[in-house]
Amino acid sequence: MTNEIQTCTPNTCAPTAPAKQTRAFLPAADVRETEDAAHIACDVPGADPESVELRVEDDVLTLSTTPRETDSQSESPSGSLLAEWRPRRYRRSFRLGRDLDRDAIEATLEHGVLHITVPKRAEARPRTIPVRISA
Amino acid sequence: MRLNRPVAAHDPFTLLERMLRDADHAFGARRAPRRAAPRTHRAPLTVEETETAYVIRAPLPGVDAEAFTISVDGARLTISGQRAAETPPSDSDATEAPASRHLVAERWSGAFSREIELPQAVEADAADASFEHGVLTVTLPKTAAVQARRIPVNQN
Repeated sequence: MTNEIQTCTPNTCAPTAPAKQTRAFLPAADVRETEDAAHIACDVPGADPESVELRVEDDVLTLSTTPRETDSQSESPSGSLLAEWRPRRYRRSFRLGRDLDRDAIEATLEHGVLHITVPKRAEARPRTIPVRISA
Repeated sequence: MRLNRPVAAHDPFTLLERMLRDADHAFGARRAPRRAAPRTHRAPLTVEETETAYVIRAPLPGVDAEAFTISVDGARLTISGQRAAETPPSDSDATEAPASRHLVAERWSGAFSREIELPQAVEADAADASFEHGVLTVTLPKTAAVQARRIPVNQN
């Protein structure tokens, strides 16, 4: 298993260039920014929940998964009639902006979708400043 | 791809232009008009055959298990349903839709559908479907009549 650290190009933001040396597949992703967080959703069908790995190095967040071994596949020798897809190893990196708090990242895996929430730092969130009125 | 015309090899731009045009021509017939109708996601499939059944798998991450419609008609299997557009998992109690913008939007949403004709009729009543880790697995037993019969050879 190649587990080399992703080198990233000094790009703007969002996804970084895929690592050349890994055989991992790039999962489709949505990245949504709200007032207080960035939400990342990645399609990783067939990923083993145990295998999900999130790693933050400097300002780059890298997720990787490996597929679950399906016991039904070894159940009986079978012929393949159609093979448009197979469980894959996924890996993708995202560059985190300065406003994001990399120490408070949360992630859940649900029905093959990996949801990652990276909250914004308190000082980066919009706030309203109350004006005191002195009588 | 075979180029029909001789190419001035010393002019890479002419060559490139010609290749692009040929490629356009080759793929032009298959190119669908963009966004003519709401796109239906075409789920990729694997179909495996065992002695007694067909096992169909489709990666459909993020679909609710209740959102699947699976139907069998003779040897024809149809899988369809909907995937909701992305919402953050914890925002179910959100007061109003929080102001948000997409920085990256690659995942499909909306309807998906796929139809496949199996080599033989299957036992629709004994079909079984499960959805695990975003992968739908449908097991369709072959009808008893067409199940391969193994004929033992008697030895004395």
